[in-house]
Formats: sequence, C-alpha cells, structure tokens
Amino acid sequence: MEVAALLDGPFRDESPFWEALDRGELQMPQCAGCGRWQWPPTPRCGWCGSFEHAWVTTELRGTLYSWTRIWTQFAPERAAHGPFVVVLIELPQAGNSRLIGTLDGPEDNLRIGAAVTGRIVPPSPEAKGMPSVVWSIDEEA
Amino acid sequence: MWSHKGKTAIAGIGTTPYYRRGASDESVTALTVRAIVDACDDAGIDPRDVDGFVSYGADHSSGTRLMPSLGTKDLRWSAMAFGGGGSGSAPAVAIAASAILAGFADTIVVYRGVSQSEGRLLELVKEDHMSPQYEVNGLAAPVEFMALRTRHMIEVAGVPQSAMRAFVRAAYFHAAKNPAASSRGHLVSEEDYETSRYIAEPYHLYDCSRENDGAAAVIVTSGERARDLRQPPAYIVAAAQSIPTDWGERGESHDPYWCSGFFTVGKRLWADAGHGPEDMDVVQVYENTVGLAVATLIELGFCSVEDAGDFFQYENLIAPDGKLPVNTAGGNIAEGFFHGMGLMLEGTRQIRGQSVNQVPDATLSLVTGGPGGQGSAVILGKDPDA
Repeated sequence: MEVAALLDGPFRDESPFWEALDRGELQMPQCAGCGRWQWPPTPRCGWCGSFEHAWVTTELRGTLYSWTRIWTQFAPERAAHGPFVVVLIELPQAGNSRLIGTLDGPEDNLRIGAAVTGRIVPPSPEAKGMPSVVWSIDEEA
Repeated sequence: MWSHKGKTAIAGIGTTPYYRRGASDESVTALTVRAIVDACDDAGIDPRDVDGFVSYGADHSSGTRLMPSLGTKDLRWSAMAFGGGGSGSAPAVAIAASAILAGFADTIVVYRGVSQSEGRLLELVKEDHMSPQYEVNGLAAPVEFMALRTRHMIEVAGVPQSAMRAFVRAAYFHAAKNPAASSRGHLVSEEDYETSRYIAEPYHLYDCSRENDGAAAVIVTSGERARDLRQPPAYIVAAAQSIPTDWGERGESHDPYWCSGFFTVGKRLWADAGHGPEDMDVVQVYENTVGLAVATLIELGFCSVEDAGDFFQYENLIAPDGKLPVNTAGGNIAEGFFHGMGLMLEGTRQIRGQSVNQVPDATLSLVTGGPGGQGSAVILGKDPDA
C-alpha cells in the first residue's frame, strides 16, 4: 500500500492525511461549517450538513487513551520485532480525535492518561510502505 | 410491543461439523449447501421449497449460486445484512422475518458458510472496516483493536478482568459436554486462563474466537406454518437493531469507547418483546473477543458496570442452575466459529429442549449479533404470545 494507492481505494477521503504525513506534517480534518473535528474524515458533516472541511496542521502532542501489547503477529512485516505496543492517542488540538500509532521508546509510565509526544517516521515495510506517527511518553514533570 | 411478535419462527436448524481452519476439502458453497439441507431435514421440508436466501458478513454464497444444488423451484427473496463479520447475524434473521411478514417469501434460509482457504474473515473485515491507519500501525486483526477497547473497559470503566475469565470458563464448561464442539472435553481453570499466552493484551488466547471451516443455517417461516412442521417452533419474539449518533465507522473515535455498540439496542428490544433482561432464561452472546461480549451484556442491561464483578461469576453463567447461563454450546470461542450462526442454532435448541446443556423449562432465549456494527439481537420464545 502506498499513499498514491489510497486515491483509488474506499478510503480515498483520507488521502490528505497521508499526503501531509509524507510531507512531515500532521493534519487533521475539521468541518468548515461548524468547526467539529471529524476523524476519520466524512464527505459530509452529519451535524451541520457541510460538504467542506479543512485539513488543519496539528501539534504532535496528545494523551494516551488506550494501548495494547501485541504478542501474536498477524502482520508478517512485524514478525521479526517481537511484541510491540500499539497506542490510541487523543489529540486535544483536534477536538480529541483519536489516532492509532505505535509506542516509541521506554514503557515506563505506560498508562492511560499519560502525556505523549509524536514523531513522524518515513515509510517503512512494517508500516506497509506508508509514513506513520510513533509516540513516546513524556517524562513526568 | 412489536405487532408481529410470535408471527414468525425458526423451524429448522442445520450445520456441518466444525472443521479446523483449512481442514475441509469442500468449497464454501458445498459446505453451505450441506448445512441448508441439514436444516431442511430438521424442519421436515423439501430443500426445493426454500424460496428465500439471506446471509451477511461478505458471504459469497448468493441464492442464485446455491439454487442449482438445492433444486430451488422459485427464488423469491435474496438479501444480505450489512455488518463486517458477525454483526449481521441477528439482522439476517430479522430480514428473513420481515420478508415473510410482508409476504415476499414463505420459507427463508439464513446461513453463513466459512472456508478459511477461500479468505479468512479478518481479510473480509479489513476490506469493510479497517482504514489504513490500522494496518500501518500493526493492527492487522479485529482482536487487536478490540483489545484497545477492552483495556479501556477494564481500566477506565472499571469492569474487572475476572468477568472475562468467568465468561471464558463457563463457555468452555458448556463446550466440554458438547460432542460437536471444537473444545469438547476441555475445561479451563482460572490458572489455565491466567497463564495462557497473550494474543493482544489484555486478551489471552482463551478470550478469542476460533477459526473454523464449515457452515450453519436456520429456516425461518411463519409461526403458523412452523406449527405444522417437524420441530417445535422457536418463535421470533423480537428482533432489534440500533446504533446512535457518534457511532458507525469512526475509526476509534466513537463514544462510549469501551462499548460494543449495544447501548441503545436494549431499549428497543425490551419494549418490542414486552420483557426485560430478568426474563431471559438463557443467552447466547456473540464473542469474537470475550471483553466485547461482557460489554454487550452490560449494555443490554443484564448488570451495571459497578455490578459486573458480582454478576460475571462462573457459577452464575453455567447451565443448568446458573442465574444466566451463557453460550451453552460453547459459543464462538469454544464450540467453533461460523460468525455467530452457531449461537442462533443453540438459542433455538434451548427453546426446543434439545441442548446438551439444557436450561430447564427455557421459554425465552436471547441471541445477540456481533459487536462493532449496529448492535442487534433476537429473542426466541417457546410460546407465540410469550
């Protein structure tokens, strides 16, 4: 899967998200009519009826909403790496939209509610040839 | 109250064996035909007289594909319920019942065939429900993102993991006595559960559904006609689906996050049936992963989040004497996985008095559809006026 391939698939409405990551930016979709954040993006805002939305550059800072450590590899590309942690991150700057990512760095303080900072990494085989965001847990103040 | 309560019924049930994944030589069409013929034999009807076909979850066995094998005289109804894996299982029965009530067909078979060699369910679920952000980040199977939801249920909502352990042990207890079950003869102790390997934390191996080859089918017809057939009818007392605003395909941004998508089903279901959770004698609840099944029962009102630890006790969940026996054939995790159709068969057996783990005098039997889509459930009854 590559960014270009998305343009023809059922998830083509997400293309701007992936294109932004490819450029090194996190952009999240916001309704141009009512300002509601809509991730994943929808063609029409179900609240106000607008068909327009803007892709807004968003800081790579969030809160750990949930996590799982995956032991059984359904994804062959990750089989060599052993268990890894997938995180679900709430983005306060994007109306608490939740993004899936992976954990980067130490697992100390791996708990729901932890503050996290993200980093965009270039396309890799384990990320199915796509750019992605990895998240590390902020040191406790 | 639903004005069509008791006017339709499940009149026949059929199944192939639960083959291990990849262990059947037959095509999914052949397996499906076998299950349908078995259901017709059970009901005492000629397979040629089946005039309607309903399936769900990306099933490829359309009515037109099946009819040459069945000698179908007149195909009058052919439909699919939306819903990735098993979230169409209960809605498919509702589609069949509604077509019968409308007079579009008289004898409708609802079925699900699975052959892992013709595409694993997780591939089909992915096509429909998993946007690129799942696979890009290593979430390659539903169990993995359901683990995120269940982590939230345990740590934030406060449902103890002991609820899942009790559910697993009850299902395995039932399957141990079921000669047709994949896990027949195999009990799971608390220690077995706690020491089993993780698939995706907090999910242990035992929390996860199996993968099987095979098929299962039920025959739906009018209550009136069902009374003249071979088996005691399992009347359709209610069949509800519901999912509110802020749900649907929203990545992982839906709320309440830990739920299965059943929290508005109960209101509709219980109002239609004229019964509440306390009236159910036995329950078959869809568990591709057990955390979501626990959530489903909480959302349907069987207990509160606060009471979940007390409610989900092993002794409460087993037949014949538990307060609410669940998944009495073993369910998707222990009997085998035909994407929820096995649960529909067992819910019917309980009404007939034919389960290997029969709940004495069961008169109302609940069967739920799968989580993650529109929540859904069917109530089967022994009495059309139940």
